Amino acid sequence: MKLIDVGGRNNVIIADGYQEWIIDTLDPLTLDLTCDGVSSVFMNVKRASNLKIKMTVLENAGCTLLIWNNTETKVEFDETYVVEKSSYLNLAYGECNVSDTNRNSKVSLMGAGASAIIKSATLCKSKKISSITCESLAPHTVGNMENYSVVLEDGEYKMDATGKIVKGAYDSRSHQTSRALTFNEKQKATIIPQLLIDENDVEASHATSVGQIDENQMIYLQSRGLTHNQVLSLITVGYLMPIADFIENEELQQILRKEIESKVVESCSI
Amino acid sequence: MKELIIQDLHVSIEDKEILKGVSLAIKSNEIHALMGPNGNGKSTLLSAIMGHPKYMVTSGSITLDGVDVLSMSVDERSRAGLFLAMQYPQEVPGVTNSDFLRAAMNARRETPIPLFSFIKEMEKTVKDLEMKPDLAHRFLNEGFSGGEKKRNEIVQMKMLKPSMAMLDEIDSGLDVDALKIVASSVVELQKEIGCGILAVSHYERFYQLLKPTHAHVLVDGKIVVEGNEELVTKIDTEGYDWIYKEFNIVPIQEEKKLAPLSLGSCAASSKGKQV
Repeated sequence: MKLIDVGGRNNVIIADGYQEWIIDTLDPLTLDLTCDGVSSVFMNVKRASNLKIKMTVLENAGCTLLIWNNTETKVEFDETYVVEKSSYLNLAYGECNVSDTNRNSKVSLMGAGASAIIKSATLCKSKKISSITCESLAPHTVGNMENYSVVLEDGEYKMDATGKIVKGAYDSRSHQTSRALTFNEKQKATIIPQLLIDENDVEASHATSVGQIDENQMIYLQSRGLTHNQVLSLITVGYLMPIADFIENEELQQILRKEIESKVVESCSI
Repeated sequence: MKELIIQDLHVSIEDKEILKGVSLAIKSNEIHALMGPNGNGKSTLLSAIMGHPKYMVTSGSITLDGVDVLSMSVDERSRAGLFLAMQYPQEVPGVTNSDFLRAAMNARRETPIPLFSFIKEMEKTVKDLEMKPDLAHRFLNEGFSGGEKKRNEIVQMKMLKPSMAMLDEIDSGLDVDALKIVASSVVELQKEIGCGILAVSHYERFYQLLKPTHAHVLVDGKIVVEGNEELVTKIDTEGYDWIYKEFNIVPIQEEKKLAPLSLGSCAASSKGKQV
């Protein structure tokens, strides 16, 4: 696997095709990224303290970006994405690490026909606070957001998920689903879904749930010989695994699947 | 030779006694038909044997080859060889059939089943049950039709190879062709591994295909009549009235629960809550 360290290059025009980047610095870092073709990027964040990402997806371009937070110390993410006319952004964020995270992410669908798929998957064993906004600023735009989290002992999860459609952004759609799975009543998970709609000719929806594994599902799976912890592992992996398949690269998918499985097994066997 | 012995079993749900002293013995290679009017304890018996925590065993015993089943957890009972094909199989989004079944098979093996062997066996079983080839990659029972869920229960049964299998109205929701497929799969498996079977059904057609060696009628929490396949035929043609008259018993009338009326809600799960 070829890894490209972008630590020394802050202004990057993303090349077409697939690439992998490693972020490995504890100094504050700002990345100015521009996508003018069709590209996909796996951003492996090994060390970071304050990471700013500013990305513009130019007209008729498309970018798929998967940010994988692997840090061992607290990190703050500040992300802004501008998606221009007839272009798309597929943005995913995954984390199974144990350090705290503050993440602010804003996607602006600036041009007519722009679209964004925004996903996150969090195995939460520490304090994970996120605020994600997808705003439609032009007609015919589409924003779909999905956030999945499994909150373990000592974990605290907070997600502010906002879909916004401004006046004039007619024929736009904004949908969001956020789900947090907890294992007992002491664990803290808060999801605040918001829809800020200022236009009539639009579609918008939100679905949110915070809760424990359904007792009947637990018994059903146990009745096939799985222990309580094995059931927890299986369902947790099911919650988080789709993020591993976000980028169509089999080698990367295998690596992320193994990492998610090992982290989940480690966490659920405690 | 395995033997499941149930002796004088009393079971309650929320302080209401449902089973009032059931005794039954099932050996390997036997097929027992369990019949009776709705709401008289058939499903309760099967769930209590499997260990569903909702069903409280107040007295009596269940042993499998002399080992106390009641002291085992649900998963331990499964690994000991019990299997319940459920009347209403659960949907588990996010968990694929293949991941689930592989984990369930590995849970009863000392070394994990090699991936190639698992795929081969799963493909054959899915084909035997005439299900769609993509079953392995679909989430467990999610979006399945009623018939697909029932067939998937038999897929699991064939893969897990229990020594004692219980089928709770596995024939309901199946069309004529699917009924034949399911019944022949159960019979084939029984011939292959010699498991004992306890099957609940209301229909003679299913029992004709299964060919039970024993038949029992459960009324008001007790087994009131026992026999063989002829008993199944008699009930199919004459119903249960002759039993009520002959044994001077009154069946429990199934309670009809009123469905709660919804005035509408947001898209959030009704089970979910903000913490």
